[in-house]
Amino acid sequence: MIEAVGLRKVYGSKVAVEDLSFTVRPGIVTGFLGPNGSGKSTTMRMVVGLDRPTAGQVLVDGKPFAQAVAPLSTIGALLDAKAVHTGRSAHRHLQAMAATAGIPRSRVDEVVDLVGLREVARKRAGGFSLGMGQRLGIASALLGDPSTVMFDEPVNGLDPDGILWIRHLMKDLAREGRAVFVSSHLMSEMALTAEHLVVIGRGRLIADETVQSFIDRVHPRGVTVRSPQVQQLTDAVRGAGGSITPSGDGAFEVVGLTAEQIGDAARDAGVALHELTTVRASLEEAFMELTAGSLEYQAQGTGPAPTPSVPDEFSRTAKEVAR
Amino acid sequence: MSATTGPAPVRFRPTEHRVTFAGLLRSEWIKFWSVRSVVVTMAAAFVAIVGFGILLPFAVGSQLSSPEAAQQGIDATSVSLQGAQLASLIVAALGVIVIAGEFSTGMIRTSFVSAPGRLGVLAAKAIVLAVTVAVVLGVAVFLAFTIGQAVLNRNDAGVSLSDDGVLRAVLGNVALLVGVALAGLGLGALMRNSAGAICTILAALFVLPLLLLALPESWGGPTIREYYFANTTTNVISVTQNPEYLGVGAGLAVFAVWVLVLLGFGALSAKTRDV
Repeated sequence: MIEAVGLRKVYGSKVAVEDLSFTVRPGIVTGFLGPNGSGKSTTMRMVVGLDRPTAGQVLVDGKPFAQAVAPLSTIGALLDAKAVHTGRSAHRHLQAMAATAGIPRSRVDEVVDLVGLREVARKRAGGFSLGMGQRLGIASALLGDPSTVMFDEPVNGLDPDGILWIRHLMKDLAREGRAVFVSSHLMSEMALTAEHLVVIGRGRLIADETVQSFIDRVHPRGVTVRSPQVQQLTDAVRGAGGSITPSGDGAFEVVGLTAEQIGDAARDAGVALHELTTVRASLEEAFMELTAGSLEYQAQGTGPAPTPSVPDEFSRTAKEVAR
Repeated sequence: MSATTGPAPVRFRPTEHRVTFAGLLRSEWIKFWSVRSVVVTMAAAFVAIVGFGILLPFAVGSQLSSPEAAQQGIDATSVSLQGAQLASLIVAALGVIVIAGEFSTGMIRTSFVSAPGRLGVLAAKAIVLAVTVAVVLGVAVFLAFTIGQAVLNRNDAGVSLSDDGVLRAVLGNVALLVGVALAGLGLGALMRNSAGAICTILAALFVLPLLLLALPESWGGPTIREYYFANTTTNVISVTQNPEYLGVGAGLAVFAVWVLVLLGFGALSAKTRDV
């Protein structure tokens, strides 16, 4: 469990994080979302005490992490930058970590197997690919069987198999009752793993809510309807208390009624429906809308509210979630 | 996926793996011997001590037995331990790389997340470094002395450990090596950069003492030279005493203060700065 209260971090004259409060609860995956440079990594470093907050505080299991008596069992962290001596083998790295808290050697072998690094465990970590480095970082994070895990951009550099594996891993860890805190700048990734979202932009909190309410709040739902009997449909919808507008291509968008209500109203009015689809804003769109004004590194000439152009893959995955 | 986030059905109960100082010592021991550059540096220091301990007595052996040499106070102990001077530069670099290497690779984040008190990590590192240098290079120093004296004895110029001041000088060389390694560790923790910290400590040990020789008496030259870090061990490491420098006891004490101050600044920096 992580509780951040009024976190602020200033580097020189640059404010990286400003008045940030949120809670990461046990039993669920909490996504930490924000554009690149929005302060996610800084926040995570403050959680484990590597960076000192300029103001505010963050507690892990009720106390500052620096006071943890069993740090490796309190939080397992995979941070963005590599945190391994390049000249040391993965196995020795984990052994050195394990030794600090008397974690048995068998546990080292266990996590090495868990992340699939057995073949290369005796090789120097400096020669590892990005994906292997991430796996070693995850092994390090799980070594002490911690009650909270914190992963900064864990899918970076992983192949599709690895990505699938880490998604399952995070859900399993949460199901075991651990608090799971995972950052990403990819909405689609969060859509697939997280239940709760903490969204930041330019170091400030933008949203702290469930994935579903995040989408709902940003974009009211509509229903796309097609029918050959346009006039009867319009009457039926208005009669049932909804509003209907043409959305081009012969389709109409209905707001204020659920798909079920529209279907019932159409049946009662004897209207044939050719399409009845609930439309939800994709997580990607919701994200774009909320963070549009808070992008740290915006391309020159981009307006304050760019039209969300959502790649196919993203909108598809977000729709899957919405269902 | 469900959008509801009800209370967690299970509360995870971790096995509490508490961090202990003994654990930190074990961890630092594993770290020390599992990086090739550290092992190679250690070996280089060993070879330098033993190698020069054999070579120099061969080179100067016959001159040392001459009556002129005896009059000039050329010291049989120092001849066999010249390698320790070179080794002191090597272990200074060793002290730097065991800590600065962690900062440059990012390993320090793992170390400080495993033991967020930070000072325990540094203390364990200092102890492992000091004990390893004392034991391994202590063996090298005694080996160099023994072989060197055997070589000198072919010309009847050797001395024995039981002779006046000899054992003290031999142990003094070990103390020099340990102290310089710890000074390197302190500077490495302070500067966090291997190249910069190594250059700084080599300059402090090698270049600055030569520059200080140019300081005139009116500027306090002799006193500054006496108390300066690299000069404090002048009489600690040799049987022959140079009256221009601090005596054995005072020299060792001032040297220890220098080392502790450097370690203190390193610890303060490691404890308070972001990593």
